[in-house]
Amino acid sequence: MNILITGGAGYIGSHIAEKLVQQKYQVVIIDNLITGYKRLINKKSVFFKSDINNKKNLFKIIKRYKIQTIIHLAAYLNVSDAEKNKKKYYKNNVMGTKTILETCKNSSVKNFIFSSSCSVYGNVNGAVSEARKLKPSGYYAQTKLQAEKLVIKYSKKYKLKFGILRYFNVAGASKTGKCGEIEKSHGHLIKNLAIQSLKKKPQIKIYGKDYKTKDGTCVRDYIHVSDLTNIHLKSLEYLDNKKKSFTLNCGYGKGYSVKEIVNIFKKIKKRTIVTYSKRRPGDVDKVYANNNKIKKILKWKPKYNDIQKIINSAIRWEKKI
Amino acid sequence: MKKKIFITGSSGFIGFHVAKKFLEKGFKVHGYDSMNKYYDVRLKNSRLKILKKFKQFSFTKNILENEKILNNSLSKFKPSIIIHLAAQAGVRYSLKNPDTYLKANIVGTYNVIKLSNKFKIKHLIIGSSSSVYGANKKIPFQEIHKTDHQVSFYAATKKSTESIAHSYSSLWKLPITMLRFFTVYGPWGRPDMAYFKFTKKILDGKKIDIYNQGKMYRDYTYIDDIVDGIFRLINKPPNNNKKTLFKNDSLSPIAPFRILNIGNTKKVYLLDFINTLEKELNKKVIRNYMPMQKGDVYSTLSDTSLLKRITGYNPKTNYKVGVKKFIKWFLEYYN
Repeated sequence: MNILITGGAGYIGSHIAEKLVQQKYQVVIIDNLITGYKRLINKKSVFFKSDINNKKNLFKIIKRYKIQTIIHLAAYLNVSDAEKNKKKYYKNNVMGTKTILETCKNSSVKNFIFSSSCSVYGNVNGAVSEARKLKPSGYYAQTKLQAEKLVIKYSKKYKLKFGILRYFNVAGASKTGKCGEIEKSHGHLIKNLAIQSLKKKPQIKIYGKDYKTKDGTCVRDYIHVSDLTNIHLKSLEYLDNKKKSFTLNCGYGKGYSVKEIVNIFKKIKKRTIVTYSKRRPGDVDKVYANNNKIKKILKWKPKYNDIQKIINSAIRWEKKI
Repeated sequence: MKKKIFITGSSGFIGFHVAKKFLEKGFKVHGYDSMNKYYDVRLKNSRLKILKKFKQFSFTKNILENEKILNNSLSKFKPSIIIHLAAQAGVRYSLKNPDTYLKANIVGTYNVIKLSNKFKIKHLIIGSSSSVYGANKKIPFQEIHKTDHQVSFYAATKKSTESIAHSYSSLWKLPITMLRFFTVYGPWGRPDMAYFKFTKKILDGKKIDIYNQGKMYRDYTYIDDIVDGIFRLINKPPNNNKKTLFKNDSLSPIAPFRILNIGNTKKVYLLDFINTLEKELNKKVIRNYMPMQKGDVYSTLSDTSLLKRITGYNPKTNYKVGVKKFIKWFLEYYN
């Protein structure tokens, strides 16, 4: 099967490409290399430097490589940045998705897997299931919800099967050591910890300590990128075999607070200095997954759900770069 | 009185078509070909069989390096035009077997040029190649561009023959046109070329190796357009008594020597060509995307304005039409 991965030179994209190439799929990657990196481009994939809004390029690539499945990851994803640059986020996350979907008309594409976000749920208390009413808070989350709706709309129009995957907080790096998160600007906690781990005097800022949670800091569901990668593989196989669309949460169902994560980190780096700062606009108090549906439908079993392992793998990758 | 045409490589792909055209137009044609085993000899024999049906066709089977036989054929036939197409072809083969290229292309062409001079040929047309443009980036390729960076030994031998030809043309005022062919394809084509191999593999259900992951362009030129161009060219030998009349002319300032591109002037993406083959054959093929091959170039595209101005040459065949015609022939021939 011929697969197109948008954003395939990014953190998650490079992991998916690695897995699919290993499974002998034909992988084509589009990335504009703004938050993607040349180093992460899988050597066995076919790579095109292009923006997802370039319809002409997309059309040619889909036609020439006879793409049957699109895994659409390309997006801007800094929650705070989104509040200040709404046009930019709309153009890339919403219009970009629309452009890709439009090029699927009368093409070889049959399946569309879309990276969405748990942020579409907004603020929740307790585990959130896919049946929950969607109340995205923050502009980034809104772009993700709008994109989800486009995926459903166009899939119906062009008779595609879709898989919407709502990621919780992705962290860690592949055992192979060939890929990991390079981009520093996303504001990801575990990435920031990994960066600090290489310093003599690690410093970490916690944004907000007045959230409605057990210790006042945000609570999130951290999922290892390799488990997320397996979810994509299973999604691909499911769409191809069962030919049924789905929307699924990708998380372990366990919430850790930022303070808890930082404390685990402090055990490795005892000199860490922790400071508190104001809340970041767009952040919610608490969100973690009810993952019964994905376990049932894809028969997915987490393999790397050990927060220690997640943090260690991120640090190991950071040492490499 | 129609001219007498001497064609080397008459059992080859282009040579066969050119010979056939002149014979159909009532010219006397002498073919000279070694019928070597570089590719399927049965195909060469089938082509020869067709040519032999013409009364005005005569033939010598021998190698270019055999100066004595070449001399005797020319002496007997007394042509006024020589179209020298015989060569060791193939960019990829030249990586493994460069010696054959030296002998056939350089020694062989040298013999043809030397003897063309001896027999006072009115117009010598020599087959060169788009590969002489080598690592050039500026497209479309024009004859006046510098061609100093060949990337394969095959291309280097072709470029060398251009230099040898110019020196003879300049010394002895021998009118020579070098024709740089751009990826010629069509019925009775060369089995060592990619499009031919792909067709075979698609029909056999085998996988095809696609270099540079398919990110390649070629100026695929259909054989009928090539033949038409050559046919129009024989009466237009380079003449440098007059001042250069044409824009961007590659005519030498000191010799009746000119270089001409002959191509379709259209960029065709390799994968589009392959997709068309699959569509026409109604079969899907497993693709093995490979990195770029040594000695290969990323893109070729001809500017044929000069040939157009001189002869009125006007290529008409879109690659989709050409592929259809090629496949029709292929299925019939290999039934």
